[in-house]
This record gives sequence, C-alpha cells and structure tokens, in this order.
Amino acid sequence: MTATMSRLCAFRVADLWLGVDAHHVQELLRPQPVTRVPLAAACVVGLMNLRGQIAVAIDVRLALGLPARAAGDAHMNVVVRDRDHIVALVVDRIDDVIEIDLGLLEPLPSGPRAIVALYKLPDRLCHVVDISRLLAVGGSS
Amino acid sequence: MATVSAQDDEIVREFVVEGHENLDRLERELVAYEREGATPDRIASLFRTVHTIKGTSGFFGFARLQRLTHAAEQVLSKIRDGERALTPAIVTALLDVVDETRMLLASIEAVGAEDERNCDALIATLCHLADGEPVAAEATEPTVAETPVSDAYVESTVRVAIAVVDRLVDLASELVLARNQIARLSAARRDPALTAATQRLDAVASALQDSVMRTRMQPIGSVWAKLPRLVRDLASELGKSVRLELAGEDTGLDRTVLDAVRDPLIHLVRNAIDHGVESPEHRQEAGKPAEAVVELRASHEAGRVTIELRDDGAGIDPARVRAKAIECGMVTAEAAARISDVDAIQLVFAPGFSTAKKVTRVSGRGVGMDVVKTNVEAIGGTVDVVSCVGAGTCVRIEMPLTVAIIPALIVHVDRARYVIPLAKIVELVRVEASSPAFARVVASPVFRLRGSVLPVVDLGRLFGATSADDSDGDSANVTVVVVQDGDRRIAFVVDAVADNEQVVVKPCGAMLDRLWVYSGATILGDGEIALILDVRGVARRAGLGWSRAAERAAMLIGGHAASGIAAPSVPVKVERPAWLVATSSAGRRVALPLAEVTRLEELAPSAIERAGDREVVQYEGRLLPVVRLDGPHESGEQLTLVIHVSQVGILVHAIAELVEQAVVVDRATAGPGRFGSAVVGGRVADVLDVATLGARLAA
Repeated sequence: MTATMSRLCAFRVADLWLGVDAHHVQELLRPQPVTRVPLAAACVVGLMNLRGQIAVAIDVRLALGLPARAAGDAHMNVVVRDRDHIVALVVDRIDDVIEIDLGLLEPLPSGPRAIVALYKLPDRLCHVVDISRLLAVGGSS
Repeated sequence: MATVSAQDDEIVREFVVEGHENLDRLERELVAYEREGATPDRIASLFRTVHTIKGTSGFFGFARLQRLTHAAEQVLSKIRDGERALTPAIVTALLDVVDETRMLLASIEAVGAEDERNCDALIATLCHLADGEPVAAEATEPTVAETPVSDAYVESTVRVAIAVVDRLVDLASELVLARNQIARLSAARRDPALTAATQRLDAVASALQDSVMRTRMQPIGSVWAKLPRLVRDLASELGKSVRLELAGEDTGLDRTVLDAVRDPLIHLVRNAIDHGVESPEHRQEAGKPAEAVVELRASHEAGRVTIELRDDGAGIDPARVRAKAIECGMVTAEAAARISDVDAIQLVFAPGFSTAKKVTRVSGRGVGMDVVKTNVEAIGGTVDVVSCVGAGTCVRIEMPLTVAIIPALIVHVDRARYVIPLAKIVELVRVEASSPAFARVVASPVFRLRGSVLPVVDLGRLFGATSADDSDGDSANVTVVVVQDGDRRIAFVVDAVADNEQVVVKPCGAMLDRLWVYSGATILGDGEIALILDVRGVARRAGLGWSRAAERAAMLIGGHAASGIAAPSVPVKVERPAWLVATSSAGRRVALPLAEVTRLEELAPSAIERAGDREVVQYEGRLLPVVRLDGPHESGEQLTLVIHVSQVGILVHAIAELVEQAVVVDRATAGPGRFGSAVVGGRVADVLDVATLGARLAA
C-alpha cells in the first residue's frame, strides 16, 4: 500500500453508505446493554461497558439528522477511538473495509458537517465521516 | 576525622541522599547557566544550595566538605554581588567541587567519615577565582571523576512517567471491579474453598489498589516549593518582616487534589501576609516580635489530608467583617448585629467579600476567599477559619487524598442507578410522597426540614421518568437525599437508596461533560454503569440557578423569619430570565426582572413616613422613596417592599410567584410606570418600568 492509499471501514446507515478511517476503528460489536443518559442529546444512546472502559454510544442516524431506526431493527456497533476516549457508533449494518486512493477523495466544502468527503466506488458512493465532528454535532443538538 | 555515632546514622543518611539530589541540581543548573546566562535568582539559588551543604557539613563536623563548600560559596557570593562574572573557568571549578563533594559523600555513606582526599588544590583555585586572580591551568584539571554513585540514592527513587502510573491505577480499579463480581458469585456458591480464595483476592486487590494510589501521590512540598520566595518578595514589597515555617512537606496527595489546592494555598498565603501580618512597627507596639511567623503544616489524618495555615498577625476583626458585609449589601445592619463573632468571620467566604482597606497589587480585589472555598469544595474538601483579634488567624483545609476513588451513595431513580458523592450528602430522610413536608411556595416545590425550607429537585421528573412509574408498588415512599452545594442545601428526591460504596470515577467523555449534570461514571460491582451526579449541575439543570434569591423570597413568603442574608448585590447569573410577580391591593399583577430586585422587606404600614410631599421608609440609615402601585389605597397589616436596584421601594400587597421564563412584552398597554403587559406564569401581568414609576412619584 502506498502513502496515497488508505482504508475506510464502511457501514450502512439508512440509505447512506458511510465510512470512517479504519485506523480509528478499535472493534466491531453486536448490540450491547447500555445505560441511559438522561438529559443528553437524542443521539446519545447511552454508556457501554467495554471491558472496564466506558464508551458513549452514538446513534449515527440521529446524529446525522436521519430518521430513527424502527424499534427492534438490527444494528451493530463500530467502536472508534477519538483522542483519549472511545465511542461506539450505532449503525444499521457493517460493510467491508475498503481500500481507497486518497487522491480520488472528493472533499466537501468545509463546515460543521460530519460528512467531510465523498469517495466513488464502482457500484456506490461512500460518505466519509469525521468522528470528532460527528461528536461535536451530536453534542450540541 | 569526624565519625558518626549510631543515633546520628539516620540523619547522616538523609544528609547524603539530600546532598546527592542537591548536587544533581547544582550540576544541571551550572551547565544550563553557562549556556543561557545566569540571572540573580539563579545565582541566589546556587548559593543557597551550596550554603545548605556547607551548613550541614559543619554540623556533622565534616571539615573537608565544609572547607570545600565554603570556598565555593565565597566564589558564588562574589558573583551574586556582581563582583565576578560566571566565567567558564568558574563553572569548571564549581563542577569540580560537585565531583569532589560526591566523592566525599560516597565515603561518608560507606564508612561514616570523609576519606583522606586532598582538596587543597581545588580550594586554592576557588580562592584565586574569588579574588579574581588568574588560575594556573593545571590546577583545575585533576579531578575529572568517574562519579561514584550512592546506592541509597539510586534505590530510593525511580522516575516513572505519569501515563504509566495512570494506567496502573486504571488496572488496579479493574481488578477491584472483577473482585467485586467474584465476591458476588462466591457468596452465591457457598463453597468454603472459593470463599477463602475470594477473601485472599479481596485483601490483595485492596492492598494493591492502595499501593498503586500511593504511587500517584506527590508530596505537597512540590506545591510549596515556590512559597518561600513568594513570602520573601511579598513581605519586602509590603514592608513587613515574615518568617515562613513549613512542616509536613512530604505529605502525599493525589495529583488532581494537588492541582486543585495549588492556587487556593498561594492565595491564602498572600492573604495572610497582606491582611493578617501587621507592619513591624505595629507588631512591636502590640508587644509582639517584629518578625511575624506564617506557618504552613500538612498532615494525614483518617484518610484525609489536613493543611493548616497559621499566622500570628492581627486576626480577623468580626466588627470590621460585619461593617464590610453591610457595606457590600450582603446583610442588613440588624441581621449583622445578630450574627455571632464566629459566624461573622465565615462571611469572608461570601462572594465579592473583601476587607482590604486598600486595593493592593497583592490582594483586595474582591476575588479570593470564595474562590478558595469553591475550589476546595469542588474536590470534596472543606475550609474553616478560626481567628482571634490580635493573636492571629488559622485557616484549616481538609481534603480527600484522592478523587479517583470516592465514597458514594448509590440511589435508584426511575429504575436506573445513580451515584451521589458522600462528601456532598448531609442526610437522608425517608418520607411518604404525600408528606406535608413537601410543599409549594409559590411556583417552587420545597421540602420543610426542621424549620428550614429546602428547594426540591425530583430526580425522576428531571430525568424524564414516565408518569406510569408513579403507580409502582413503593411509590408511596420516597427518599430525600439532602445535599450540600456550597452554602445551600438542596433536597434531591429519589425512589430508594442502595449501598454506600467506594466507586472508581471514570471520565465519560467531552460530549457528556458539556451537559454539566454528571461528573463522570463508574462501573458497579455487577458490571453495569452508573452515572455520577454533579450536585451543582443537577441543581442548575433543575432551574435552581438563582435559588439564593428565590430561597430568600420563599422564606419571606412562607412566613418564616427573614434570615437576614440578602441577595448578592451583583445579580446572580441567570440562564433564563427570572421574574418576580407581585400583586397590588387592588389585585393587579405586576412583574419585574428578579435581577433588578435587591431585596424584599416585610413592613408594617406604620413604617411608612412622610418627607415633604413624598412617602419614604428608613432603610439602612437612608430615606428610601416609596412608590405605591395603586395610589394611596395600598393597605393591609403587612406589606412587602420590593427594593429595586435604582434605590426605589415598590410597595406591594404580596409576592405572588417567581417565574423563570422568557416573556414577550406587549407594548400596546404601555403607560407611565408601565413598560407593557406580558403573560408571566400563565397569567397577564403589567411589566413595571421602574424609571418612569419613580418619575411619576417625583412629579
């Protein structure tokens, strides 16, 4: 892999294909019990005990302003590391790890949005998510 | 040749270890100064270090060491006085002194005496340098040493990165959690062998956690290190003579606690010197030694650390505190007179309080003791002041050793568990939900407890419990957790309380920190997570942000004797505008921003007097003009005077409620004294325009 190549961990949320930098991804997990956090933003699902470390679980649908998942629908956790703390992204389902050519990444105009770039795959369009921004957006809602 | 007796052995050992540390520093500093240039402070520091070694050597009779360090001190004193520059030759010679001293210390450590080294050449070189004479080149050569290293010194300390220590603390906490889980499982099994093993695990895990927490401790001396300098500078600036005495420098404290106490301590020391200690002349007039003593003492006591700052200065004069509190508008003159001397001194902790006669660079800017109190309380500590006029003041700070593991109460709210730090809890009261102790004073729910009225936060309601839960089996009973937040108490209503536990505080991420409601989270024995409540944040979230004014109003309205403590003269920061709604005798509702109200006073109609063609009341030694809302018809046995910031008293029949909401003022009904109308608290009220109300009065 050359310096211009990178990897995205891709997942599905509503009708969007999203991807986060695979370097940040710590693990993929089935649904876990969570502790509700009253008064937090709607997208904060709760707190999760990951072998003694506490992770905030964020519903990516709600954080991006997409319609909520129907109760009982399947979902998965993408556990990512953002600076010193860990966050569990709650997504509909997990796709592949895809290799991308950074040169072909199409950055979106900068702004507060969590989706910072697009990447065209032969069969679909992958939206690249910046985790810090996703958290900032989720925290302020 | 000096030898060391057995009882001195320990002291000498300490001297050797300390000596090595001093030499290390000396060496580093010398090299750095040569590169970066030496400032007078740095030279003074070098001088002191050498002087210390010399003094101690003399004490133990190590003549060679004493002569050598004396010669070095001579050179340094010339440099300090500006007679010599710190030339490379001098640095070299001083470094040689460091090497020689190390050799001598090594031999003192090994055989209890100096070895027969010949230091005369080096001493001669130093003398030449001190006198500014040229030095023969070979004289500075001889002792490039393969520096012997003291065994005691090497074994006594190991440097470890903070991150490694933090990781160890985390792992130890995990072990404690795992132990809790195993203890639970083993209790269910009733297997004697398992129980025994669990008990052993229990003991080891506790001991390990304890030891690991200890590694995170740093001596408080690391905070005190700059105090001697601070005291010296302050004293000379203020023309005072002060001796600082430190005791218990090696008292260990957790890093977080240490950070929290750093600024308060510096502030307290400044205060002691600026306000406490008198000028030498005053002291001598009072029959005290000209030199004041400020004593700082730290010690461990029952799992907590106590820091005492004592000065033998003028003490805090309760009379002056009262006068100042009245001047700042914190208490009324009558109330101040009722406060005991001991309580009056506690007023120094009120926000905005300062008795400094003049504002100096050092202190007296009105920020201070309240910040000290807030900082210390934030980590679960307490501050007390005891003072005796003429004899001095003692400030006593008590703090937990660590904030990483805290004793806490687990409570149930809406089928979830939450953690309240025990340090914040005053008492628990179990009552029926329908108890008459729960009342509503105007709009705010309150809890009456032995004559005081506490604002209530129903955690279930705050956290959005569904009303269906109210019909649960045990809902007839609730537990009130009375918590202390600064100088006020609040009643938290919870469904039930579980255990007292030592919980390990874990951060729960910036995203939740921004809510201010939780100070972290913890993992309970069964692996489930519980949020740790931040008492102040919860209160604020529940709309008690302005509760001091509201509490006072509630007391007035509830027919309790006014406490005498008035609202702060600076409006309390409100997150949403709060409105005071009052009624006139004619039943008119009027509203004005609570922030503009400085005080509420109940008064009899006879208290209103005439001055010229105006009505006035005597208020704090002044005449306060009074406005009646409904002209001269305002009547009744008891009236309430709403004192506005513009020094006008508005006479009302009663205070109706306190409403926290944004209002939209309809200007169509505007008129003299009336800014317009608005819906406040669900009903229409006239929004007062106090400026024109006063003008109407003047007309």
